Amino acid sequence: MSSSDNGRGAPEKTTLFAAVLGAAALFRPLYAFKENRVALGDPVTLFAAGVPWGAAFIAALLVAAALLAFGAQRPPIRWAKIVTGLALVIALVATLGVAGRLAVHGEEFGRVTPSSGFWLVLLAGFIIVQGSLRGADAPEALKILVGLVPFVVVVGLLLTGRLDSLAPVQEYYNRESRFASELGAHVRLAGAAVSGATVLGVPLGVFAYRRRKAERPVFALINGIQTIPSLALFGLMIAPLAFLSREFPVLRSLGIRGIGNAPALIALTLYALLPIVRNAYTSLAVIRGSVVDAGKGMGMSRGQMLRYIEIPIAVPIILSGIRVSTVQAVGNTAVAALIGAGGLGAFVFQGLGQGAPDLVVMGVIPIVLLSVFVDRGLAIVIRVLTPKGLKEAPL
Amino acid sequence: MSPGSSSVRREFSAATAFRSLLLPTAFAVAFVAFVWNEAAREALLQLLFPGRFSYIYERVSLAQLFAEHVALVAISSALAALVGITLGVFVTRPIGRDFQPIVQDMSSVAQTFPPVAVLALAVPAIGFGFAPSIVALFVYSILPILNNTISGLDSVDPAVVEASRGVGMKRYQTLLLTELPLAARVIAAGVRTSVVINVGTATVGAVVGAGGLGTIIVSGLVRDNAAYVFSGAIAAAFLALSLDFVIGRVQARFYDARTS
Repeated sequence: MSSSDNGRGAPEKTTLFAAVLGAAALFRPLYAFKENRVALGDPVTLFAAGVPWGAAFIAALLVAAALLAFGAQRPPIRWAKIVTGLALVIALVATLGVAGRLAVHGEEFGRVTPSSGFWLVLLAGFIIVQGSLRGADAPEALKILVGLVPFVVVVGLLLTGRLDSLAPVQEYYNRESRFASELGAHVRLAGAAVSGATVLGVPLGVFAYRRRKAERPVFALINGIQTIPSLALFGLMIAPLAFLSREFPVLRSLGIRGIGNAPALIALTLYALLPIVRNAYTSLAVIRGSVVDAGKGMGMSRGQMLRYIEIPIAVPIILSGIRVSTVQAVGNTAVAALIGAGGLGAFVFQGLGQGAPDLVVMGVIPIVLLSVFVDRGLAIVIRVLTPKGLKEAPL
Repeated sequence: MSPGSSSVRREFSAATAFRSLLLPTAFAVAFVAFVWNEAAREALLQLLFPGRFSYIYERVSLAQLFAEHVALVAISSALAALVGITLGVFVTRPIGRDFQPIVQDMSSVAQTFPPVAVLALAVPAIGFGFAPSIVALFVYSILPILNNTISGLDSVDPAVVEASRGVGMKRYQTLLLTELPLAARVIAAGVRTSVVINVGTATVGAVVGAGGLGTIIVSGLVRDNAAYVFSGAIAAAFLALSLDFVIGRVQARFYDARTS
């Protein structure tokens, strides 16, 4: 693939770039030490963090990555790069944990916040691993497992209390029980919206395909909805729902009010429609093509056509729409916290309101991880369900 | 591939032009009255939300918030277009081709990040207010433009590039006179997506002190004033829809690979 795929001595630029980026980042602060929750914090670099072996190991890994970039692009070197990148990420997080513990030793409210140096070295590690993993000659499943290694290690470090000195982790401990309930609320709200959008959207896509006259207005409407800013759409839901709730006590007794879950769920469902309707429509367009004629030509019955041709083709296309909708819904649900719907966004906005950046980070990280895992997870499901003849590029 | 084909499609009568512009114009007039004429707005809001509200946000005028919003979006989107297109050109040239896979991987991961996450993280990273919000909006807006620049340039037929080189064009001339014009429609689609997302994200920017139309929405939510929420929401929705419409019109003028 790569143009430097040879032994002529041209370095592999991606890894070299990452190694240089990582090396430069070592001179940026690794973390900031804070005496309490709202203190500004004193920046500390890796070399001043009191963990000489960790610093030496990280520096050595970056040198190793740079040297490997000059090697030929053969599988052993590729895998050496992948292992170096993984080791870099793990060593970085572990060093931060140890350094943080040293820094807060004896300080009751002391904590450390990861700083730019940490995030940039992490990025360098990601580039080294991802860049080499992409072209590696290995089964897709193995690549996914390798990509999961850093997550597993970090979760292990978290669970064994080795990262307790980190400020976002302390913010988490202060809200442990609420965290579970907000996470649950987030997943339920996003899940309900996407389920609702699927139930409405698939028939709507079929309808738009069948009725040529309906096609334009249907797509104009749901395109228009997607264009409206999420906060504005949430806001526009409030007035009519408050009105309905005032006029009809039945609705109020069902918990439907101007703020909270009801407007959030309606707005999120409307948002989730577009990708699902579009893909349901596309799946019919694909099915109606020549494959159906081929099936008929082979003498398939209506039931066989449905089972062997139409469903296997349509399901992955519709699921791709659901995937896009779900990732969007996870993000938009975070905004829904502003109209009192709860979810992980509540931590983010609370942190912003209190001027507590670590609480913001504590809220944002699970939202991002949720999006990334939902995205990758559904990508794998879609890949498994896609008929062999229709498979495209790797994940 | 005749360049005349797009002018064929542009052939329309005065009547259809009038009809296709009638609705947008009516909307625009109603909207201008809503944002810039406080008496008209108050009358409408009184009709919609009878009773106890204060109808006109007293701290800043809606027109001012609208202007702030436009500034947030215009500055960040312009920078994002500049950087996104430049980066997209870089990774499709021989010198940067090695970086293309990793740039695409990173942008596909980054696109699963919710926009509000990027905005919120700007606060711990660079601070609170208008300028940090611009930076966050800019960073997030690069992705769709970058992706579309790469796919637009990659979809240009290599034979056409070779032909341009064959008639004696230099590399930069091929890029400017052949490749970019052929990719313009796809790039414009990326800009359109990016701007629409940007208007939405900028609305949430009110909570990180960016100003803009989100300010009145959030203030209405906090004070339980549906009239404020409605004013800001309508203005933000109109801004997004009209930018989408205008960029869509511009985009439709570029060369379309599918119909030519």
